[in-house]
Amino acid sequence: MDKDFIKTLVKLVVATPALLLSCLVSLFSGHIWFWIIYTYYDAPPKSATYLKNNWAKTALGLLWYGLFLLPIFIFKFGFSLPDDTNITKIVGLTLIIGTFTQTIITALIVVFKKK
Amino acid sequence: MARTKYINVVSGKGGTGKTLLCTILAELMGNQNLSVLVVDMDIFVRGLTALLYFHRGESIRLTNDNESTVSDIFYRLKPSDLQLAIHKYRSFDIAPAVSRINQLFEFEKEMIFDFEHNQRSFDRILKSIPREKYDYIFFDCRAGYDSLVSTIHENSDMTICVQEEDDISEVTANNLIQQLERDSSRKTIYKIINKARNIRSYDDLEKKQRQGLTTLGYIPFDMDVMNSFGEKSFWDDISRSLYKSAVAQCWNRLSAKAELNDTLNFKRYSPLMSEKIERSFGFLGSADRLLGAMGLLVAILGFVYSIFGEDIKLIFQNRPDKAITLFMSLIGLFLFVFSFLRSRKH
Repeated sequence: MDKDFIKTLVKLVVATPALLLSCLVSLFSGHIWFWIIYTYYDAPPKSATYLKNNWAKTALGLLWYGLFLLPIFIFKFGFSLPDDTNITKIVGLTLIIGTFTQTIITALIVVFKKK
Repeated sequence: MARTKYINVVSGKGGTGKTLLCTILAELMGNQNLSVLVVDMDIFVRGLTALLYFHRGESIRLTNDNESTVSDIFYRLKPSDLQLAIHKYRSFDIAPAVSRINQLFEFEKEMIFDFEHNQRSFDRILKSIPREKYDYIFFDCRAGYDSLVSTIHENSDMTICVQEEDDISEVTANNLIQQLERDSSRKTIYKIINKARNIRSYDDLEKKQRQGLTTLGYIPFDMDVMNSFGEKSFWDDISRSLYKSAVAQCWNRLSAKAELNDTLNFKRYSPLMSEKIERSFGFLGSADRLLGAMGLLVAILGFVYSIFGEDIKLIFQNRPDKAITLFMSLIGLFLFVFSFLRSRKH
């Protein structure tokens, strides 16, 4: 990957508390998905083994929150071209709705799903 | 194939979790293709046999006429040439203590066993076990000291003494160990501290694990074990608990010390990303620990987003998104409190 791109990305994440927070929350979220796959399924799919490191867990978490980011973005800003300012504005709402939904799904799995 | 190892499991007093520890350890080993037999030597309490009784659909009769049990051999209730009854239980085998789970003994038949009688009976038990079939044979002894416990210690490769953290358990375990060492000083006695509650961090655990050459480690108290023991979901619940991974760690320490070359590869991932945090919440079940943490996260995120820099009245008038997140945070807070209350109910 281009070094300048990585530098810009890191600068952006570090300079924006909302994005930094979203990375941390994504790590936790991705870890929970990994834990559910690993713990509640007798033969975890091979993909579960790729999720054992923190980068992969963060990526999985970001993917999960991405599912919520898109509809929220469309709801707030219509079908306009996404830019980082607009995205930063809706990060908080996305994290809460995503985490809330994941909590409900996790609660249902840990209470009702038997291995 | 290496020679079968005999491991004697004892405790200074009752209720230390000796039988459960034997069972979980045997299950872990069985799942790694080690062949394990657990012999229930506790003729009166017969906890392991009770486990088998429930596993076999509460069938009171546990053996056939042409099989004998541990009590049959010790009390000479059946002819001496019969095979010891051995039953498959999950991934390992169990030799029950009695033929019927509700079996009573006539008082006149209860003799004060001497060492010679115990030695003969124990030899007969060993002879009636197809020893070449097993990598490890565990003897789940009765709590405290008697001549039988001493005989098994004398004939085993090693002894594991299970104790709790409290002073009474410490005193009774030390008395037992001293007595057994006096009987046979050649055999090593290892200690496992079960139901440990004063482990607040990983550093605590590490410090404690290094106490003494013969201490195999601490098994933290885990609410999942308390809540689900005897329930149908027990084996599911325990897989997610701290207990199983701690037992595996203790065994691996024993394997290293005694050069057994059989390590357990049980790997558990903590739902909270860190076992040191999780151990502090051992008084909650693992599901409650997870739900509590997620509820707290939702509550914090929701409150910060909705309240930060806003007048609470304006939230409900002008900002429907913040009103929704405030509502979600309240549900998160409820989930957090609920997870604690649910454990207390148990």
